[in-house]
Amino acid sequence: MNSLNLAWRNILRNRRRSLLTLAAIGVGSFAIILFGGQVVSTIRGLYTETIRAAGHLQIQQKGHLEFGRANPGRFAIYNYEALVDQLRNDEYLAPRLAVVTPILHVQGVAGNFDAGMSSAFSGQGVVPADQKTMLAWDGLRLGQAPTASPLLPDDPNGGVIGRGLAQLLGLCPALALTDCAQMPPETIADAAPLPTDVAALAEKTASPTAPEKHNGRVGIELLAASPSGAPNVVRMDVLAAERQGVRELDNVLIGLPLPLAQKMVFGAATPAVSSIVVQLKHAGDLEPARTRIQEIVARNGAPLEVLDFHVINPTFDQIIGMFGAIFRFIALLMSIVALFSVANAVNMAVSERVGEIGTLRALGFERRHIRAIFVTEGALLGLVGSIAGSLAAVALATWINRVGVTWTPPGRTAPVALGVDVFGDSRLLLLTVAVTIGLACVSAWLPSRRAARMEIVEALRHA
Amino acid sequence: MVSATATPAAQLRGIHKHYRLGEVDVPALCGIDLDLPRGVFSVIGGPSGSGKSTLLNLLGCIDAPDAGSVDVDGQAVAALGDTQRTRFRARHVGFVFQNFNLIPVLTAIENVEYPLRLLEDNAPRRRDMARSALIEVGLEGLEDRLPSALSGGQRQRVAVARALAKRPALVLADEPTANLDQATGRGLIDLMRRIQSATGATFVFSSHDPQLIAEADLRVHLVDGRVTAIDTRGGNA
Ligand SMILES: Nc1ncnc2c1ncn2[C@@H]1O[C@H](COP(=O)(O)OP(=O)(O)O)[C@@H](O)[C@H]1O
Ligand SMILES: [Mg+2]
Repeated sequence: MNSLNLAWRNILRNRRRSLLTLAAIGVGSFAIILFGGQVVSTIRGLYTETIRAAGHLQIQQKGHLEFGRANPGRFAIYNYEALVDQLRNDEYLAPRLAVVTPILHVQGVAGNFDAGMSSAFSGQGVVPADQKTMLAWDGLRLGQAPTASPLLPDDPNGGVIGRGLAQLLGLCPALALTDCAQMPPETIADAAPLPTDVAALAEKTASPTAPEKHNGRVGIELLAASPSGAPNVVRMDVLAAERQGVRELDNVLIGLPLPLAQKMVFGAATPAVSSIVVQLKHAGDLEPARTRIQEIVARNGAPLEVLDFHVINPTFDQIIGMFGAIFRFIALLMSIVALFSVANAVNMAVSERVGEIGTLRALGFERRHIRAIFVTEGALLGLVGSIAGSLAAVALATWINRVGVTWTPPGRTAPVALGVDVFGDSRLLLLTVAVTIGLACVSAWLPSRRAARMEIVEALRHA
Repeated sequence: MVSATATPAAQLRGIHKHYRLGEVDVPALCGIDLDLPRGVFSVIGGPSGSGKSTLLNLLGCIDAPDAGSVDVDGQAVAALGDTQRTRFRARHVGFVFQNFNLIPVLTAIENVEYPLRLLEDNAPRRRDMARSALIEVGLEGLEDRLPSALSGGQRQRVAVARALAKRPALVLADEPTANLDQATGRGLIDLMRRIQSATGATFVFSSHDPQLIAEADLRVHLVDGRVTAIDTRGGNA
């Protein structure tokens, strides 16, 4: 008969109350683990999405992140092909690399000039084959299907645009897009009355005409300023219009093959890129890879910097921060519930067993022994409750994962699996149980002190 | 009958004890001087409210007097701190309570064994001590019963076994028969008496039942917190 056994028997003494206490603790642990598991899954899903889109590290000219968009020429990397080769062939990096690929950011005006419509765009020129590999990254082994990449390696003029941009350029009919919004007709109230001939003209220009098709493909003109300031125009065939999760992006985004983008920015001059994207096979290699890349870059003497995806894509940390805050809030609430329910249970146990306390004290049990008895009961409630809650959470998580629910995180269009990865972070289960036991001990402490401080003779009167 | 050199089992000098009941002072003991000789089966007799329990609590080192000194087994109790006093009780004093005070979730043998862990680290040895104490009080075969499955007399015998298992110098029993019927109560006193002769420990019980009081070797009569008479079997002390 050891202390735990005794504590357990005392817990069973008032089954209804103990069950309620265990239920409160269990539900708390259940919620923490289930939500924590979901957060772990979501973070891993977002991580995968982020790494697919932006890689782990990007090499850029110093200042490109802040000023590059407006000065693509000045903040470009010119000898990028040599650098890409150097990285790909580096003894240390080579086995760790998934993709090393150059990209070029470009912005300007996209026009469906046949219809007289144009809109600002923000584009990214990529190597389609590399892009395809990047979008298939699954370094966390989530089994997430590769993200679709509509660019084709053998189509130098084919690009993809945001669904919103397609709408702005009046391309919906031509691209046979079904879910486009209809532009509301201009009403008299909105505009000053026009002479009938002008009104007729306006009607003509406002109603989008299908753009001219080349080889049966829908094309748009892209206009950007070259480093020297002269405008360059290229024609891009629209392979697809893809909905983006953020409206601002949806209205401006264009993805196009790197040579086409380079032609637009540099014309006949030496082509360059904005950034060299490095995607690693394993997340854990990020820091050593950064160090190695910095060495290589420094050897080249160019004023380049190596930025990680946290810097490139700040929403990643913001979303994680938000989930972290919600998780901590839930954990705090559940801790308070556990704290109070254990305190209440132990407090009532002390009140019911005053005579027993007096007896034990008379028999020679010291105050610390009395405290230990009740703290052990509290700790056992915490242990059993949190383990029961954990088991229930693991069971439900397993079920959810088997059923395969998906959701679309903020700012994304691709749905990701709503996994609940309760084993993803080993701290989740261990800490939940450990912290619950700790909290239970803390809440049992005050009532146990009350028990230990009782006057023996007074306590014995209750026997 | 007590040699001058032997320390008494307990010695009370000038004991005063009163309780406060709201605004009222309730005197419980008013100037008690008493020597309890070793190895004697004694009784504190007296009507209800005469101070028997208060006196036994002082002897058992679970309460302190307002004035006067209590020595148990040659130890001045007042000189001990709370923890020391608790350890002193664990080793030297056995208690039998009016309401048996068994731990309800522990079986008979576990109830006897449980306090032994304060003195004996070896679990099998504890078990043996508990088992032989239960045999001593005639409860062989009932070791694994919970208190709720025992009769009142059996429960009180478990309590006696619990008090005796550690072989204390002093065994105190405050009205141990008050919750037992006449015959069972008498049986219990006979049992305690037998064990006392066998072990030579000092037994003190309290009672207001003249028949049971007559069983003791040394009888201390209390009335209103004062000792009115001390007599021994076959003569006065
Ligand atoms: N906790 C207490 N508060 C107030 N009065 C008490 C308390 N305990 C005992 N008394 C009083 O002290 C006196 C002696 O009580 P007690 O020692 O219990 O006597 P007995 O055991 O002989 O019945 C009684 O008058 C009783 O009412
Ligand atoms: Mg009494």
